[in-house]
Amino acid sequence: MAPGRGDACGTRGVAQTCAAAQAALCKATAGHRQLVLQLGGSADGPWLREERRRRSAEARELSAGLRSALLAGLRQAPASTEERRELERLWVLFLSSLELFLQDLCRAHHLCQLFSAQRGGAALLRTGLGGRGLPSRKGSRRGGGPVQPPAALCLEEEIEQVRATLAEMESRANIPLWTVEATQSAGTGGTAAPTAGGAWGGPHAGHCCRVL
Amino acid sequence: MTVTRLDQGQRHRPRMAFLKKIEALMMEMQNPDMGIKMQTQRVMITNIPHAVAGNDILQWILQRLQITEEEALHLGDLFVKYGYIYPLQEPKNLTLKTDGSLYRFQTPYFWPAQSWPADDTDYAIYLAKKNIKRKGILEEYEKEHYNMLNQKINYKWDFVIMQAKEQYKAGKERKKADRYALDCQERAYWLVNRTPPGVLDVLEYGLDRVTNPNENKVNQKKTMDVYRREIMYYQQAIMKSRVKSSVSLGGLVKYSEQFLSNDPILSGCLPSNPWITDDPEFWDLNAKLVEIPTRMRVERWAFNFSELIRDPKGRQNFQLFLKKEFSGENLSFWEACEDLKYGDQSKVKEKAEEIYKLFLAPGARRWINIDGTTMGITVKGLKHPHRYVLDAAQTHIYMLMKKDSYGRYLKSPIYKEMLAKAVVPQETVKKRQVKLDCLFWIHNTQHPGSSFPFGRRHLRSSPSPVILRQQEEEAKAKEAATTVDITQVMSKLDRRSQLKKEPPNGSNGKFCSAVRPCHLASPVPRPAVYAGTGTLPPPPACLPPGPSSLPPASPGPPALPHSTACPSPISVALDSTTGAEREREPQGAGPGPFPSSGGKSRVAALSFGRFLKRGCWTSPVFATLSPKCPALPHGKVQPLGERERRLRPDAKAVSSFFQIKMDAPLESRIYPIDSKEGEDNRHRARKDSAKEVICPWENPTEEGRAG
Repeated sequence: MAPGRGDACGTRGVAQTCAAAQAALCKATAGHRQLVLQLGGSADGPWLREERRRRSAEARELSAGLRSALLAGLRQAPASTEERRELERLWVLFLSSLELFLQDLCRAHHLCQLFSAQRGGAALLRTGLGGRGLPSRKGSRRGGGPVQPPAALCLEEEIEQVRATLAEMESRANIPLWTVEATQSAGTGGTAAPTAGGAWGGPHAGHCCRVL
Repeated sequence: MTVTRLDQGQRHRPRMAFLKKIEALMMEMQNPDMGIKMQTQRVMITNIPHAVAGNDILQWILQRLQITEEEALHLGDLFVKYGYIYPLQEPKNLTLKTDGSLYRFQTPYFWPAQSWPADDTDYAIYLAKKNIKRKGILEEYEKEHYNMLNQKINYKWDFVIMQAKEQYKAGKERKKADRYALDCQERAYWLVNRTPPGVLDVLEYGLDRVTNPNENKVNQKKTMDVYRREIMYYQQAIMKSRVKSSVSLGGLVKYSEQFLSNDPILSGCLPSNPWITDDPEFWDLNAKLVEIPTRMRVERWAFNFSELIRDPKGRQNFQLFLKKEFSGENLSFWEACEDLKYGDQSKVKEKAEEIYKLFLAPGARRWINIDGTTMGITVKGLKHPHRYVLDAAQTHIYMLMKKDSYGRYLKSPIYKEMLAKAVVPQETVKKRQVKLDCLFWIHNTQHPGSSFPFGRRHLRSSPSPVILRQQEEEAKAKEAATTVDITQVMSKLDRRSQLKKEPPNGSNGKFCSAVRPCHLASPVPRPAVYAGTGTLPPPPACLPPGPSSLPPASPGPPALPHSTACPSPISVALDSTTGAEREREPQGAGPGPFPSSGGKSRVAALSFGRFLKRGCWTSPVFATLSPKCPALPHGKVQPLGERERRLRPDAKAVSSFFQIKMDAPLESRIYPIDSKEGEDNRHRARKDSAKEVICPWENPTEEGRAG
């Protein structure tokens, strides 16, 4: 299966890079969420908002890259079944994280309006959090990347961008959700080691559902 | 990727206006001068600022809103329950304690928001995070949720785990105090949004709404359609009738005064209130169709017409009266309309047709007197019958009864007799019963299962509604069966007397006038109309019941329409009435003049025939009908005297012609009418009758067919 292996290696590489990018995206969205959490609280301030904006831009960049990589990977038909499955799994994960990100963006928008800077930062709730307690940014800044975000988008535009990405992705790739099975088991005792990708045919516990 | 259910149109949470108000108060509380003073919470070695004491919260609310302490306490408690403030020392106990226990403000991210409910994915991530932090720390209900979510959103479970890990890591990078505060916040949020079992879910709001209360209607694009709808709405608003408040209040007062004595709570009820004394005699005495009603009930009928008509016993009594006045059909029609409105809707079409045939069709047996406009509207509406199609006619009849008959009814001997007969129940002695009850209860608790020696009266259950309904149906059927339409009896007697006077050949000349058998046919087939009005005893006449498909539905006396008075609205549709029965037959043909529906007495038919010949030939109504029917083709006008002679010979011909399984006598019964015209006219009559159905809104194609 030499020629096959060659191909498999290539696609595995795609899957791996995608997986790595996905992990990074998760991290970015998690950080972003934590920042949004503090909006309106005692840690809020222009600095926080700036930081949030930066995180958001980073997440969006990552998502753009991941999207094109995944699309490219999926478009190549002759990928082996394993890889295809992996890519589809990643696709679903990517969409989920984008949704979460969008949700956070909406909330951030709402909160920014509620506690708008023009009101002199009035009525910020005293939530017990101190400002400037963000995790170090050493690991996450990509080397050689621009220091300033390319364009400072306002929140509405950010939301629109992410929404557009989501919509585009859903229409581009027709991946039924129920064909993806989790690699991690649920065990409340702890996280199990990732098992091999589950059987293809396991349908999702059926509700009469439709993909959003 | 979120999977949502199919949009059934209701997915908007109802407006929760109080949220905004609480938020405003929360923000005011932060004011360094006017707000609540802050304390520092000490957790082991860390100091976390911005804690407030419960008592301080209470005092602030009292001072700011100027309300009573009880209210302030309740309000503060609600703040905690909705998650705007969370307790620090007892996180799971979401109540406001007015001692020194500490609380903290929730971050706005975690405020309850109307626009988005707490998400399942978020909850899954939270639980996973908690699990990662320390395995097995999840509570029982949390474990259940966790497993359930694992099944529900299994496809993104990897994402959930991944994200949980990342969030956990992100949290760890913060300094300890912040981390503690963040954890507390999130925990409080989920305690409010995913309540543990047994805790009241304050955010429970019932059903989702169809329309989105958050939708900004102000910014709706003003299209033509929007304006059109607005105009319609305001036009209808203008048209709404308005009553001065003084008038409506006066009405209320009057009503209260009038009904005070009838109110069981304010004036007590005789013999006793069953809910208090466990004595169902009151219900028995006031049963729907009790033999002798109570005096109070009968007096109530005199208050206004709606009271009378609402009470089944009142209706019964009223119907008796109406029958004496020969307007019983009004109330019957009203009741039929009520049945149409509130009865089985799957049979709406059939019911409407029957009502039409019985009450509204020209020449109907129990024709009600409504004006032409209403009739027109009704007939038009009957093309597409629904439950309110007879509303206009029903209202008309209702007002007729109310304005006309009701007044006379109240003065009538029927009502007065009922009033005299009405019973006034004696008030039962209550004390003994209550005492018995107490004893019984005591006895039972001490000796469960044993029977009480004093023989306490057993509680009877009221009769099952199913049985009641059956009884009603039977009573109705019985009544319909025995109903004798006074008009018909009278007309029959009338005819008989007329027939005696006239010589047999007297009206020969009249026959040559433009009278067609079809017209003659028309009034007669009223029995055809009454399919389904219940079983009627077939008249003793020898005639067989005719085509087996027809129910023996004809009334005893001949079905003479209101053509007793010739200017009854006999119209072309009269022909159609013959057709009603006929359509059931294979040919759709009926014997021209008389329907073969069973039970028509031959004598009556003959006399009817004579009557028609005598009485109605020259009626203008018949004249109008003439264009519809062609001239006699054969001119086989036979003198009347020959009728009997021709009876038997032609019988067979008729029967074979019509292909109806009938005995000769039936045919001969029919025969006399068109003996003059002969078979062709009968044929034509058949066509006429077959051309159209009782209900003019059906078979529009046939209406055009001239006879």
